[in-house]
Amino acid sequence: MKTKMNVNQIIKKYNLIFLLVVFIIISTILSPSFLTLNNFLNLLQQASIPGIVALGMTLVIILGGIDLSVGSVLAFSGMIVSMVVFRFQGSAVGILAGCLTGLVVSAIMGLVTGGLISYFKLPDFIASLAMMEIARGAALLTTSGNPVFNLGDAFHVIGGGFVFGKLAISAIFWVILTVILALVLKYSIFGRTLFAIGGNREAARLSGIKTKRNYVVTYVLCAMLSGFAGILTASWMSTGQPTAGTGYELDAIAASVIGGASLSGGVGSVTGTFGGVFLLQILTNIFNLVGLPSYYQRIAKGGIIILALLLNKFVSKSKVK
Amino acid sequence: MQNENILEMRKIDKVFPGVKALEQVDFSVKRGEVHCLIGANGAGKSTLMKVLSSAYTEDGGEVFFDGKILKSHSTDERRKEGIAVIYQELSLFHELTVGENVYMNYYPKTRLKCVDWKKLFQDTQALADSLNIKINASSQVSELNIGQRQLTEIMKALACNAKLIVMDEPSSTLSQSEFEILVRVIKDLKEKGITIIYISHHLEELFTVGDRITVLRDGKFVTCKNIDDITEDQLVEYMTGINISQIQRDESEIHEVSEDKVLELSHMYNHKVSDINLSLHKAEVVGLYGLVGAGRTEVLQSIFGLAPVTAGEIRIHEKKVTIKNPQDAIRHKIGLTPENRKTQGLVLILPVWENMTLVSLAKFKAGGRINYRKINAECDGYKEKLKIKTPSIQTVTRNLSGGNQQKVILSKWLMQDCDILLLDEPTQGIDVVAKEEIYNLIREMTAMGKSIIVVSSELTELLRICDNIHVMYDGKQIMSSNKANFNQEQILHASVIGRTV
Repeated sequence: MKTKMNVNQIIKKYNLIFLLVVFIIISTILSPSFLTLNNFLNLLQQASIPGIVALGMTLVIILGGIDLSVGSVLAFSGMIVSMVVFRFQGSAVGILAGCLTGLVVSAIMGLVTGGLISYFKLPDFIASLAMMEIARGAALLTTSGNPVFNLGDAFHVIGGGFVFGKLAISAIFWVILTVILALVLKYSIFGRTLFAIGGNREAARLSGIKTKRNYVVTYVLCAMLSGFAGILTASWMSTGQPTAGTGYELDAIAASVIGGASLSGGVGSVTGTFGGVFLLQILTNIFNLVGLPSYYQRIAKGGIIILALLLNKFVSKSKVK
Repeated sequence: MQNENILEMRKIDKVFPGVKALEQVDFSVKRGEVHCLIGANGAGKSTLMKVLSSAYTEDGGEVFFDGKILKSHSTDERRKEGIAVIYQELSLFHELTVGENVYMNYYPKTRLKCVDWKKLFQDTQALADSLNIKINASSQVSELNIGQRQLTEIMKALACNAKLIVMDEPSSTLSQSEFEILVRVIKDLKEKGITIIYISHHLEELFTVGDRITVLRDGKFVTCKNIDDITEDQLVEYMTGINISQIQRDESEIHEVSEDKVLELSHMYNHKVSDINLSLHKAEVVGLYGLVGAGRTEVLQSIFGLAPVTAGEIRIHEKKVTIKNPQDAIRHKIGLTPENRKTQGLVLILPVWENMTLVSLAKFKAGGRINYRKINAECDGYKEKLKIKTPSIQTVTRNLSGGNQQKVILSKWLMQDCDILLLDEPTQGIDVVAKEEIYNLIREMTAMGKSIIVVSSELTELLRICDNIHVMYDGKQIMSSNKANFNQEQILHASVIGRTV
């Protein structure tokens, strides 16, 4: 017996697919080069890094929180990796050590943000806003704002390599992480508690769920995913760029929300977010293919967010009736 | 002047779905008196006052105030007529100053139509001085103590020229010295010719502040007397009814309570309650009765690890335990259904199955992942067994009725196989049929060997389901009684006046 899905959830899911289909059709009409395998693989590659950041954001949003520090953590982690790799001249040991340090530092930043929120009761928005500033400042401080070049060919493979011709390794990471997190949310106790805490923190606490600990763990996970995205960014560009990831937090929030997550917590899915990121990427892609300046993209992006949410609202309302 | 009625409510009816909250209630208040309104929980005091303030619209009857009939049903109109109601849970803006609260919506303006801050604080201070209230007009409400907040509410009423002020349970959260200040202010108000309706559970207070008393019971007018012509005992009689309704107690249903002490509190203290002693045996139902705020919920909180025990001890199966948080409590097989189903008991946006498995999810884990087949089977089983009316266990819990929501919470703890269940107001806001079902469930649970503590404001309910009842008053345990000698009148009396007779 398969668990039946809530009607509302199904409609919300189809709603996103509907939007995707509409966009793919429009894009195909506008540009013949849109619906090609090459372009599709290209899209996957471009969406993978913001996609991985958005996965972490979705976890935090399901929990009822928000993490504005993702973009800065990405940059700081990227700078640390780049510096370690540079110091070890791109050797395998250096790459391993760099990646581990990057992830550990990201985890610590998540630990601090999550700890401030759950044990010191700072609002999510403020605590992560502070961490956003701190991590960005730290990223700039590492090299006084200069990029780090010459990271070697071996390091470039992680985030910039391809298999089977044009399938990006970073895209494979994105897909695998999405699947893993979808399974965690569905089949692990930790995953289910996120929905309970996001839905009603007090009821979760009174049911013996370790709300504070799980809150911290989720922020650590989110920061580590951002840190990993930072490693991929540095690798892909073969450059440690302290200004990388600027504005990613808002894209990640937008993608989560388009994917059906609710900012009041308790609702959301990583597969939905995957679709949300993909949708936003199609938008960028088609504007590039048609050759319109990026200013239009931002206006259209805002429009899409409103449209997606209005559709959700409309659907939920008609269902209640 | 003294004998003129400022307020006359005639033959007021108010019906809620399934309940006649008020039936042909007559209520009249003389100008310049302090008129006390009393009655047990659910007698209709608050409903009557809400009809007066027009928060509710009456289904029948008329309200005369200050010589004219009140037709408009806007709360704002009533306020302009001079009727001010101070509710039990004060409605102040904590982040604003006293002055702003007092003149909310009626800010004095300068010629440029801006807020005249100087006048605002001057007027407020003048008002405070005229009542001999020591309060700073420009201090923030969050800095004030409860007594000062109460006085701020009174000033708020005076600022819009109230002729009649209703005080709903003003003393319930006040200390003795704060109460004395309130009494003095009430006296001052009376001298200024302002009429006061004073609602309280605490009978002694009425004799301190009141001129006349009206008693309501079960939504009906019982009597109206001068305070000098009535005694405490008579009042209790009026409140409870002379012929105490007989409680159907099926003697054959009295079940065996074993000698096993499952839970014992000995000289337990916490932030609210002091020196609590009670023992709960296997398969026993113990009731905690008392007025709202008497400390009943706080006893449960300490057992469930939500309020630290400051002195004394809790023993489970004769062994001393320290319960620091809900996880500890659950480890000791204790479950709690909290007072507020919606905000504390359930995650309303999640489906029924998810709420049922909120505590016991770990037991459905097999091979490293949650086994949904097992969850579905078990939840469907509980849905049948507890007769939970829901189209499916996938239904969002928000869509269930109160009684069925309560059953979902109960199954949550049954799934965890709890031995001790703490039920805080388990039937609050639940219709009669569902109530019966909950009582049956409680009986079934004791048959399964579970022990239960019930907190309730409905004495008849406790008399029916409990083997032992403890009465609480102001954080203290003032009376204990077992099933063999339950006496409704005695218990009610004790809970209202704070001592046994």
